[in-house]
Amino acid sequence: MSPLLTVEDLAVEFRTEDGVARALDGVSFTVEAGETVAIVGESGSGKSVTALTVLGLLRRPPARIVRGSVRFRDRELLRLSRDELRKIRGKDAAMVFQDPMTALNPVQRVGKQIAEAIRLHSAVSRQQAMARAVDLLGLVGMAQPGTRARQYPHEFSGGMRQRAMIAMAIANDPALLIADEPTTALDVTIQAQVLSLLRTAKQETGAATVLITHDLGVVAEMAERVLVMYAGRIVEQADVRSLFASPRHPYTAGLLASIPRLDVESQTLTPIPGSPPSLLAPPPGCPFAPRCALRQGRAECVSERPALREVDGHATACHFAELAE
Amino acid sequence: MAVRRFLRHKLAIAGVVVLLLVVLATVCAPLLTGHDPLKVDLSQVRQPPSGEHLLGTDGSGRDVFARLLYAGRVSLLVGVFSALLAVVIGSVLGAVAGILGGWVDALIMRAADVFLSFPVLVVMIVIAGILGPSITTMVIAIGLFTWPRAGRVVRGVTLSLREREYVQAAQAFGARTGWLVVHHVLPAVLGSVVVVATIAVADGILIEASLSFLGLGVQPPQPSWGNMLTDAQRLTVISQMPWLWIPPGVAVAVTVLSVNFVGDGLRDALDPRESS
Amino acid sequence: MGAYLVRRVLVSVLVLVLVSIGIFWLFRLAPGDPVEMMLPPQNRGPGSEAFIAAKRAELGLDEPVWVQYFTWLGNAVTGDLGYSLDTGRSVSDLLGERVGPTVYLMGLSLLLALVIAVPLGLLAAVRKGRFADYAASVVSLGAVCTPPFFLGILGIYVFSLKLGLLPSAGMSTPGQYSVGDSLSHLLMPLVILAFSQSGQFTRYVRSSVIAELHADYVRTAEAKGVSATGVVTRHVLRNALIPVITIVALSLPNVLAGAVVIETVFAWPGMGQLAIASFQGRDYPVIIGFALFFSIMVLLSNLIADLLYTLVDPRVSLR
Ligand SMILES: Nc1ncnc2c1ncn2[C@@H]1O[C@H](COP(=O)(O)OP(=O)(O)OP(=O)(O)O)[C@@H](O)[C@H]1O
Ligand code: SF4
Ligand SMILES: [Mg+2]
Repeated sequence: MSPLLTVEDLAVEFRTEDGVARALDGVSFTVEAGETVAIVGESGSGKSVTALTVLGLLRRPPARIVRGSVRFRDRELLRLSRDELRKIRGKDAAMVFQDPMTALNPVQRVGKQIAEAIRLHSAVSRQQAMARAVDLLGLVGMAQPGTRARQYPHEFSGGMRQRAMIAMAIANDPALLIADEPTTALDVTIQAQVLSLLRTAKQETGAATVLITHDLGVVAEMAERVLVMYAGRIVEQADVRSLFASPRHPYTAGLLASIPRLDVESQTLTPIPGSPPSLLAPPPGCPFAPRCALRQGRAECVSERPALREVDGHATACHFAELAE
Repeated sequence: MAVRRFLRHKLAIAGVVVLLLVVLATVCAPLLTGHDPLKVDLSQVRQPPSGEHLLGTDGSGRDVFARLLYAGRVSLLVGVFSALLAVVIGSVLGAVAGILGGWVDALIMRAADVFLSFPVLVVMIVIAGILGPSITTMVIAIGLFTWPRAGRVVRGVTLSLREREYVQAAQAFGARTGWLVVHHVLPAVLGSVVVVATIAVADGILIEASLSFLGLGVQPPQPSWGNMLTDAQRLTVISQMPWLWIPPGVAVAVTVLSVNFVGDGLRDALDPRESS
Repeated sequence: MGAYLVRRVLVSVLVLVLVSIGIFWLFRLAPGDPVEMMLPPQNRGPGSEAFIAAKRAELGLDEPVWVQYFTWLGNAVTGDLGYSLDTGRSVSDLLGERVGPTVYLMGLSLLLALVIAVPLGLLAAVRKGRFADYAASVVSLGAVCTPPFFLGILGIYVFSLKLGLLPSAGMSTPGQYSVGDSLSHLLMPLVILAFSQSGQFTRYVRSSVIAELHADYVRTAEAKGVSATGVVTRHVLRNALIPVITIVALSLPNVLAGAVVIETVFAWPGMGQLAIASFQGRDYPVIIGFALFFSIMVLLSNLIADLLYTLVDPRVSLR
């Protein structure tokens, strides 16, 4: 059976004041039914753009899909009409956004917003949808869901709003749930609750989950497989254990080294020196070359773009992956 | 950069061109017409347009084309001076409100709301009704009741400046408020103020037209675009002498439109964040 | 809720007192005093001086200024605004009979202005940068830049004088009352006043909708599967109209000022026409009555704006 989601050679550009930014450049990955895949990478590496493209939520313009394919349940999403896509969004594939403070409509009651998600995809009455919305709010751990449903977003705390967002996302038992940094905007204590809620939601619906995050701790805790993105490309892909144990791309290694570790005496973080390349005029060769500790002056790195290839069960885009630690 | 952005704005360029033509025509009025706008000639009353009188003559035999040109001077000057007054008052009060903050700010902004909610037209009915109409009164009234727009803009910029480190540092050094205004606030708000001032000129011209039309502003025999239309309250004038009232009406609309285009262009050029 | 409203009302009353002091001061600046005006110099004879003195005492004009102010204010508050110099009728009566036609014209044109502006602004925002946007902005800029009285005269020229379709003056043909007749009288002033107002409103609606279209909740709605139309009508519109509603309430005085001009052009028997007539006749008591009435209107519309804001936006609580 083919995977639930297959993204192939996706390339997306943004037209900006200063020129064309290549936000995604040949991104390919798959998501199997029911699995949890994490996407990690620095800010601006293209994680959100990937998610938005999959669901057809990119604003075009300024974005433009240059090439590639997104197959979901064997249908090519990039070629669907707006209406066909709309029927999939929120039903088979749903999304949770980063900032729960602004992601909800401020002038609509929370229950109504959840009920809308239900009514868009199934022929139920207003009352039935509202009753289900209240159930969902209870399911995501909200006390007094009936009262809460009648409140407006501003009466909710950040964590509660994210719960409401998750309730909305799982309202139609989606097969795919994309969560774009669902905890970044929240307090540390709330983060853990929301993560465990996501796990519950997943058990409840059996949805495959794509979890976008900066936080490698979250990855270790939640994901089965990891995609590492850098400058609009996937540079490494592997299952969680082996990625953490033996990264096969120097960028991944750098990311792992920058995690503060409790078991190590030293409190110093070692973030990767330098910053990602401009997406406006990507240099030929490996985009990581200017910051790479492994390169050590090798000419190949700046002349030839490393393709994703298999090394020790990882997919990695490094000419010298075998030497990576 | 700003110049290039402005030049890219086709309507703004068109506005500049039209505006230049209008200004030039009013300034060079004596070169464009041999007629005296005030000269009554009872043998030439209500003549339709002809070679001699390009836009005909009015009820006192005065040449309408000459009146139109000289009226433009008055209307433009009223627009410019009332805008200047509004911008000066607004900038000072806005900067003071932004820098001092607290109750001063609250008071000034409250006053701004109140002033803005009284239309100049109504204010002038009262003032002119009691003290009698005059150009000076009108300019002062327009300036006094339209300053809040400039005031709000300047206050906004000032507030955002106050957060900046170098201004805070200057303040820590004990810089006087006046010094801060001259060295930091003025340069920063200049762009936005120019935009507001442009729009204020357009508003000023429109208000002048309404006021003078109703007899509250420029008094005949001195012509202004507004009071040239006053006669058109009589049906015979409207139906039989369209040359009397169409030209000044069109002049106001075209001028105000051009000023607005220029204002939009300036906004895009100087203040790209706020562009529409 | 109570405390907030009470504070706003108190501020408004304070402003009203300041405005009334301003008006009173202006009144005092007026050339000539009321008694001298009663008795033109050419009619004065030997007994005049004594008469003037007695009359001044009777009217309280020899009292200190502040006593005069409070006397005047007390009278004004109880509805006694004096008598028209022109007709001798009570100013409150005069104003009272003019309120109706003006409110009728204003209210309907405000409504029509919104009926024009909301869809037009919405369309312009949704089609930003495309033909419909440019067309809408040309229309709204035209409305903003053309003096309404010029439009009025143009309208009379075309529809009354050339085509003979619509009457050019008044609210109805005397002695010939019918619905059709009063509608035909209403049409031109209504449409022109509404069109003039709609320009500003269209621009507000457009920029407000554009701002809201970029909001995060729009993407959430799209992610739920809401259609493009649904996003605009069910989510964006309400959010976008919140600031617009306030602006509309705040612009009530401007609509009234526009009505003054339009009433003059179309001889509409409202407040505006009365105000201009009393200005022309230097009928001070009527002018002052109008000024007071207008000030109260301004402050009321500010209060309405505050109230509406708190009513339509659930985030603002009146506490
Ligand atoms: N609306 C936009 N206009 C122009 N460029 C954009 C836009 N959105 C994204 N980009 C470009 O796409 C690149 C990737 O953006 P994206 O939002 O996917 O990053 P991200 O990995 O999600 O980062 P973050 O961790 O900060 O969310 C950015 O570097 C930016 O250049
Ligand atoms: S290809 Fe070269 S520059 Fe790129 S990651 Fe590998 S070693 Fe570093
Ligand atoms: Mg992102």
